[in-house]
Amino acid sequence: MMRGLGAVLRKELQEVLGDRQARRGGYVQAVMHVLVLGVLLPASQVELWHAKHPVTVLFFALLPGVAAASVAADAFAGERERHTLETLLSTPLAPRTILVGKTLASVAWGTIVACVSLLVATVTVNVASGPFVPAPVVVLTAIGASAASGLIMSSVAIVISMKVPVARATQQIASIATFAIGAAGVATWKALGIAGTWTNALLAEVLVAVAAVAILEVAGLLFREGALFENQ
Amino acid sequence: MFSTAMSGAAVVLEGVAKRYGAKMALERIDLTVPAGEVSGLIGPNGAGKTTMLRVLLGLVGRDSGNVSVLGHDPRVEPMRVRAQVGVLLDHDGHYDRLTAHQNLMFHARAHGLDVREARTRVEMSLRESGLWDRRDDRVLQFSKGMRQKLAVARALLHRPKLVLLDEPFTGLDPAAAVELRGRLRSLARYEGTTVLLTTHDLHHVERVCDHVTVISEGKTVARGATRALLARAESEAVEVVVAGEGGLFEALEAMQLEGLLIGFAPEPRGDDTGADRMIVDCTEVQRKRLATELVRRGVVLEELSPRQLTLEETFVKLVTREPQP
Repeated sequence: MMRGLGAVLRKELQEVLGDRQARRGGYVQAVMHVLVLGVLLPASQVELWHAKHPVTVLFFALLPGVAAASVAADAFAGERERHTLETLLSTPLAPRTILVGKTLASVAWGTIVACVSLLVATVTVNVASGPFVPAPVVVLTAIGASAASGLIMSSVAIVISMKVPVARATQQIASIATFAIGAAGVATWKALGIAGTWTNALLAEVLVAVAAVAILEVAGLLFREGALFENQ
Repeated sequence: MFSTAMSGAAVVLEGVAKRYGAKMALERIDLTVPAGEVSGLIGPNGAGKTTMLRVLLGLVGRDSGNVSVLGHDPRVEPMRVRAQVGVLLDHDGHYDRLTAHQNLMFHARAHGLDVREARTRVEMSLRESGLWDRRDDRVLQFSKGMRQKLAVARALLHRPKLVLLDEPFTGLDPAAAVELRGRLRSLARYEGTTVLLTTHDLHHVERVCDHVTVISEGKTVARGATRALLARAESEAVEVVVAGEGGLFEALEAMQLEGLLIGFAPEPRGDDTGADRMIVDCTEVQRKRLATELVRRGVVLEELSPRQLTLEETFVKLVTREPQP
């Protein structure tokens, strides 16, 4: 299981990072996210960053998730379009290994975007208002938020990718779905009147991660190999 | 459940049927692939070859019939089957953004090889395929022939007991094709690997396959040792030679209309004799009457003899006839 998982994870990341030409759109999107999370927002929230306010990591729960989902949307639809899916399924990799490997690669991509954004944000706040080092709870929650949102948005995107035959259509549907998930999360948070504390934020991340695992389990149950490439 | 181990066959299919919606992809497929031999699966486009390979790998289920691959039912134990099988499917399945080395490493790891073993095997495979110098190039930059060599290397990488190759000779130059034929024969003879290949180039099948199965419209229409199949077809074809334009074409055309023979085709004139040569396809009974009928129609025969058909001609005969029960 672990060897296969490592193989899928490595292959997916090699594909994401491997060809700048093919992934140009993805790189542009990642740079935009870093600019928003690392420069624009921190520059306008310098006091909040110094005050360790939880709202500073709010967008870490959205944009890296979107970056992860854009990679995940390509998981099956892209392989189907490039005629690599059937060969992949002909290996002895278990469906769960393939699903988890592809999801983790997407989450890793989103988390890389988040980490770079956090570094850039630290530089931005330093430049804007003097010496600043983010508190461990800020770093932990920001990375946790990006991982949790990446996990749930990737899971949803992968389920869509299993069902929609064309990669571009999958990307579009996944984009709408990820924003809907983000909006639903914020609305739920507000409706429940939960206080914006670090503890609540971390708890919410854990709950989102659990929900993502449940979606992946459903994806595993829906995984019918024949149905994935019969339209090739 | 029947066992391939008892029959000495690596693959056995009995009465396998598979339907996609209203389309019957496989109607009644019977196939036996002897262990440690090279077998060919031939059929016209849309005959069901790709579906059959998918059934063998457990990628699609079947509606009825029995399947055994290396002693396992691929519907019940797909992972056990896939672990022991190397495949080249109708698309080469390479990741274009990855290098040749990365592609093979992924498949080696996916088949459970540890890193050191995977590196050794990948290097060996790339060297054998003549692609070692291009190992760090993205597959996107490869020619069709190089992609095909890499796909064959990938199929053999984990030393499978059974190799399924869909059109392995596509894109290969003649020298590479000869080399691949030799490699497949060596695998079967010296390593006991079973090879099942499909191809439209029957020239290769004739030279490399011990056994052939012909399928058409989802049904098995013939199967057996390649030589036996050719010998059977030989008994049904006759070469007729007349001097010059001796009215042979007209006579044969009239006989075909009267149902006295199945069909005929002119042979290319490869010599300077000016002789008119036809290959006549007829049943054994028709063959006995052929000479008499031609003479009665005023044709002066120079020669009338059984014709050794090529596998291609045999194939055309088989798939244009009604399937045998």
